[in-house]
Amino acid sequence: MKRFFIVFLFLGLMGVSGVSFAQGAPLAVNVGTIKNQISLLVQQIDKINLGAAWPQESGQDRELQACTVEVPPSTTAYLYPQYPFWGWWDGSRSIWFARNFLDIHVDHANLTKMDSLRPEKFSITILGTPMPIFFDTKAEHWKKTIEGSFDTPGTSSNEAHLKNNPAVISVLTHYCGRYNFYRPQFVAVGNYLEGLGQGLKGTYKPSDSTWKWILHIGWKDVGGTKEVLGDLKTALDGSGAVHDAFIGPDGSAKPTMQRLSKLLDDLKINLNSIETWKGKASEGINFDNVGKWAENTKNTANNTNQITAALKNILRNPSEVDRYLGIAEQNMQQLTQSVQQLSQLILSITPGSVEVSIEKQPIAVMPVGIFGNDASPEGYKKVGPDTIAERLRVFIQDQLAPPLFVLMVVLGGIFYLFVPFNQANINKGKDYVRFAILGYLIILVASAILTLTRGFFGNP
Amino acid sequence: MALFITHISYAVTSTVSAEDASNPRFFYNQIRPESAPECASGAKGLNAILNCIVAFTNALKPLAVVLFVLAITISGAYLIFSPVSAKGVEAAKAILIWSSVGFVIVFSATVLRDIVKQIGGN
Repeated sequence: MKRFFIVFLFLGLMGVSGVSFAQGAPLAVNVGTIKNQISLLVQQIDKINLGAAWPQESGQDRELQACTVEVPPSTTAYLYPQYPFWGWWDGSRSIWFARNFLDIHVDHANLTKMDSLRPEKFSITILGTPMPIFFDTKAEHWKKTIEGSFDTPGTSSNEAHLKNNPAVISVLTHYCGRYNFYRPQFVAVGNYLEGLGQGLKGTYKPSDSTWKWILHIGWKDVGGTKEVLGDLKTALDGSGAVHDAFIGPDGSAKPTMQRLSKLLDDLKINLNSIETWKGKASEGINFDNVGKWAENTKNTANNTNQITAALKNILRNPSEVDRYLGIAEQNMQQLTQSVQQLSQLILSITPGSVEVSIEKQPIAVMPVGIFGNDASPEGYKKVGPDTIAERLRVFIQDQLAPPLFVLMVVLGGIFYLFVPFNQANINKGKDYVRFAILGYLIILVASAILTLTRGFFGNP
Repeated sequence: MALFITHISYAVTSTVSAEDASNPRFFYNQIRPESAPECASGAKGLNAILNCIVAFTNALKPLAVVLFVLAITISGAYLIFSPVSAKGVEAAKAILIWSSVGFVIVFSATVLRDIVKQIGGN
């Protein structure tokens, strides 16, 4: 048995050395190349912040500030399916009011149910550095705010009521330092962009991403006009109250709206793509994740097949790396272009000047469950057997095996320390240590074999 | 080697400092906090299990320090009584050697893990 073990270990080490050499030699240089290029890519992404330099002026321009609101834990949030975003109807209607004006960020880590949620905080940000504000339910000013009467949520009369509600405006003016808070033309565009932003968050996968992207919109009151342009999203949908500026006499959307809609769609696609790249770049290069990269970039505009093919080829053909990174860079250029176009378009259709920016923020990465984080039937269907097998492999190799190995080795060492009491513990210690090493090696070899054979059986 | 020494010094200082050693719960307090049920935390059940494994492993390290000291003491006793018992010297040697090996293994387990990982191609 001992002889067999020694022979087996020797053969195993030889095999491992071969695998390691075969895997490491041709790719070692390319990994460095990719890392360098990805880091350059990340630097370029970091430069995308078109609205960061919004002027902080006095007077009316003071409205261009940031505001972060923390909602007390007792606040209940509800999801309204008819809206592509979250709404709060807990009596603190100023939050709902702000939803129509600002970019609301929800702490998704606290959102566990779809019908009744209790997020501990969320933030509202327009531009610049978020200013933390805490709404204390015991504070007098907050009581005054929530005591304001409101109509039935979701109705146009209620919206109008909120827009003119002095209590709501005062609290936001007080906390956010803004004077002329309400600008109807901003509501129109901001509404849609906010929906877009929330839509992006809807596509965000906690297990796959390290960053979230936030659309910011700021505006500058130049004329003080009170013209109401209407709800841009409603206009795009072609239902409800629309405005002449967006909908023609025959009921069809005017070209401006069509163009805007397309731009927003492009922006969304490209944001998803960039988010993937950014997240992966921050984690470093791991060839085990190539298949996931391909999956995550399936929605990339016009490049799905090219990227997938390029990713597949990376393992076999290092020369494809440059082309693959070139495609990613092209996507980023599209993103920049889309944002610029969107900004220009908004400037052209609103009386005031509007500026759009994109901000990236790190998010807390939630642990990945083997069956995923989406417990709904739809989510379960998305997780196929291949995905589960891959997650199991990753879990065993990267998460379970290392601490178990350490535990077994430590136990082996402890047995040696019990030698004064029983000499037989020497053999027990040996067994624990050597079998831990052998078992861990076998797991690593199995993973190496899986990596090397990936692609031969049609599995990217 | 430096890593190893660091491990040892950390274990020794974390084991015998701060609290009063005359307290009957002294040893228990050294072990218990790291293997407490609170280790079963994590968003997923599997994460909780992993956290417990790590906590249990960490709890064994202070125990190893105590056992090592005990083993050396026993080997010294064997040597003292060697004139009385001829087997004492051999037993003391074995205890010294193997307990030292065990002590090194306990505190170099993570290093060993990294070495095996390198050999395995990761």
